[in-house]
Amino acid sequence: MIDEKRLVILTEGAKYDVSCSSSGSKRKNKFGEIGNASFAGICHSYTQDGRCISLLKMLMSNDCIYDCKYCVNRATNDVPRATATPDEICELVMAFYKRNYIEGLFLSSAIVKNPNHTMEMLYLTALKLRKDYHFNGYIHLKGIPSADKALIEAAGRVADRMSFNIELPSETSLKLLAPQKNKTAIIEPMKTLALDKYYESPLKRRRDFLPAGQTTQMIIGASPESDAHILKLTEHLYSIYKLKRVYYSSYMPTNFDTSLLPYSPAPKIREHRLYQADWLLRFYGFTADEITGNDGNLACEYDPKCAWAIKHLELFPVEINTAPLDMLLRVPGIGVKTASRILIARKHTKLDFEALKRLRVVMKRAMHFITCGGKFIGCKNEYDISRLLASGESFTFRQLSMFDNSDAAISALNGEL
Amino acid sequence: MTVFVTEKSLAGICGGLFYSFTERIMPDCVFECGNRTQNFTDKYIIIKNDDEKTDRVCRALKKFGGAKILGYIEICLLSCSENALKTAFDYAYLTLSERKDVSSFLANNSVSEFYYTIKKVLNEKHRFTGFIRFKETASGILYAPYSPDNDITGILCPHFVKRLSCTPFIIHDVKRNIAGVSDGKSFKIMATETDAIINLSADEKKWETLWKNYYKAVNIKERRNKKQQNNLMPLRYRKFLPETYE
Repeated sequence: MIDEKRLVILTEGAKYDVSCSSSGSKRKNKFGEIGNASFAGICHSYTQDGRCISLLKMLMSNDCIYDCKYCVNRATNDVPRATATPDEICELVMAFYKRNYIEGLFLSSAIVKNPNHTMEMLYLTALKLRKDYHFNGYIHLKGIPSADKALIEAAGRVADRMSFNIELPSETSLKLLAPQKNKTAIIEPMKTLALDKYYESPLKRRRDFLPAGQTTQMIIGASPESDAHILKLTEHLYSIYKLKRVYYSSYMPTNFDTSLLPYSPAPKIREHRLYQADWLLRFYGFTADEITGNDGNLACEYDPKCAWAIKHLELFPVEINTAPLDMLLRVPGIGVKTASRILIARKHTKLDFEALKRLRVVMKRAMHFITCGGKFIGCKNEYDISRLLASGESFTFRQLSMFDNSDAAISALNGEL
Repeated sequence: MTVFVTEKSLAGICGGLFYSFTERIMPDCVFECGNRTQNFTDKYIIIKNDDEKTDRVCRALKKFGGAKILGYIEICLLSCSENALKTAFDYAYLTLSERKDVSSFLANNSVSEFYYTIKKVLNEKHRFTGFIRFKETASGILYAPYSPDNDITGILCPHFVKRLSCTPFIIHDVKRNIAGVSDGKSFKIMATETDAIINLSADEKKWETLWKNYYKAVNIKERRNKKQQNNLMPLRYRKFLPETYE
C-alpha cells in the first residue's frame, strides 16, 4: 500500500492538469474483470475549487530532469520528490475503484531519466492494470513528448485516452519558458495517434484504439498570446488532429524567481470565456474569426455568443417558428438541446413565449433576438441590449501597459526589442 | 375540486385512467392513499386496483404511446415531487385522448412537466452513480448507505451489478428503509431494519484515509469556488461522503 506522504506529493504535482473527464468511451464489463466505461463519464466528487474528481489523477514520479519555468516539479525547484511503483498504483486504483471513489486512472509523470524510460513506465503500469489486475475501467495516459513512436502506439492500445500537452500557445513562448521541449516533439505524436485512429478514412475511426480519443492542454496568461491566436490554434487542433477536447488552464504562479513569467495569476474569467468560445467552435458552427473582437480578445463582460449577436444585430430578430437550426443556434439563450427541442415542438404547434419558457429557453437573453409569431418583446436599441446583457461583476480596471500588444510583449520578453 | 385517491404505482394510474374515461371525469388532483389530510369541500373518489382494467389500459397505452411509455411512467412515479402522480396521470391521459405518441409535444404543459420530472429522477440517479461510497465489510461484501431525494435504488442497482461483476454489494436507502441487495449477478429490493451493524474489513480505514488525503491534495487552494462545489455536490448528499467530513 502506498503511504500517505507520497500519495500527497504525487497528487499535488498532478493537480494542475485540468482534464479529469472520463467520457467518450463505452465498454461493457467482461466476465472476471472489474469495471466498465460509461460514455457520458461519471463525476465522483467535487473539490473546494469546484472541479470534479472523476479519475485518480496522479504522477508516477515528480523527479523531473526538465526545467520548465512555470512548473512546480521542475528540476531546479527544491520540493520533496517521490516515486510510486506500478504495483502500488495498480493496487490503489483497484481499491478506490471498488469503493466507487473514482472512475479510473489518469496517470502522468515528470520526465525521469529520459522520455523513453518515462513513457515505458507509464505504458507498463497501464498494461499491468489491464492484464494482471483485470481492470476494465477508464485509463487516461499522459503522452511524453520525444518518446519513441512504437511506445506511444502501444500505449494507445491499452489506454482509453491519451493527451500530449502543447503547454503554451506559441512556439516562441515554448522556447522561452520550456526550453527543453519543442513544438515538433509535441505535435508529431499527436499526428501519429490521429493517423493510427483514422487510418482507414477520416470518417471511420478504430474502436479498439484510444476509444476516447486524445486531448491537449495549454496555459493561458503565462505568455502574451491573444485569445484570437489561441482560438485559431484550437480550431486547427480540432480539424487536423481530431482532438476531443482542448483544455485551457489559466496561469497560476508557482515559481517567483523568474522575470519571464507574470507575477499575478491570470484572471479566471478569461479561461471561462475561452471555454465558452471553444463550445461555440465545436457545437454551434462558429469559426474562430467570427468570435473574437477587433482587438483579438474576447469581451469580459459578455459571453462570446452575446458579444457576437450584439455586433450582428442586422441578422436579428429571427422568427422561432421558421428559423433554420443553424440560425437558432446563434441566438443567445438557446443552446444545442433547446434548439433541438424547438425543432421537435414546432412540428406540432405554433410556439409562443410561454411555450419557449417551457422549453427552457433563457428568455432574459433570447427575448432581444427573437420573434414568436411576429411578436417581439425585447429591446431594439444596441446600447440597451448590451447594458442589459453585461454581467456586472466582470468590469475590472487596471493600469494600461506599454506591452498590451502581444507581438511587442513577446519581443520585449525574448530581448529582441 | 375532484380528487382521485389511488396507489402510487402503474396499476393506480391505470385504475384512475379507466375511471376517468368511463365516467368522463377529469380529476383536478391525484393523491396517494393516506398521504393527505382531506378537506370537506373536495370530492374524493377512491380508485381500487383491478388487474383486468390495468391490463386493458396498459395495452392501450402501449398501442398509442409506444413500447417505452410504461417504463417512463414508472420512472416518473419514483419522483419525490408531490405532483408526480398527477404528472404521470396527465401524460397518460393525453396519450389516450390524442390516441398517439405525444412525447414530441414538448410545448404542451403536461408533456413538459412529465419530461422534466423524469429528467430530475434520472439526473439524481446519474449523480449517485458517482456519489455512492462503498465500504468493504469483513466478509468482502460492499455496503453503501445513502439517502436520495427520489426512490432511485431500483434503477441505480443495475449500474453497479454491471460494473462490479461478481462482487456482492448492498445499497441501503436509509431514508426509505429499503436496500438493493446484489449477489454479483442480479439484485433484489428488500425492506430493511433502521440500523445496520457493519463489521468493516481490516484495511477499510486505511483506504478511506488515503482517499481523504487525496481529496485534500488535489484541491487548488488559490482557485477556491465553494459556490460551484455546492451546486454540483449538494450539502444534503455529503453525510455519506467520507472525503467531506471535517
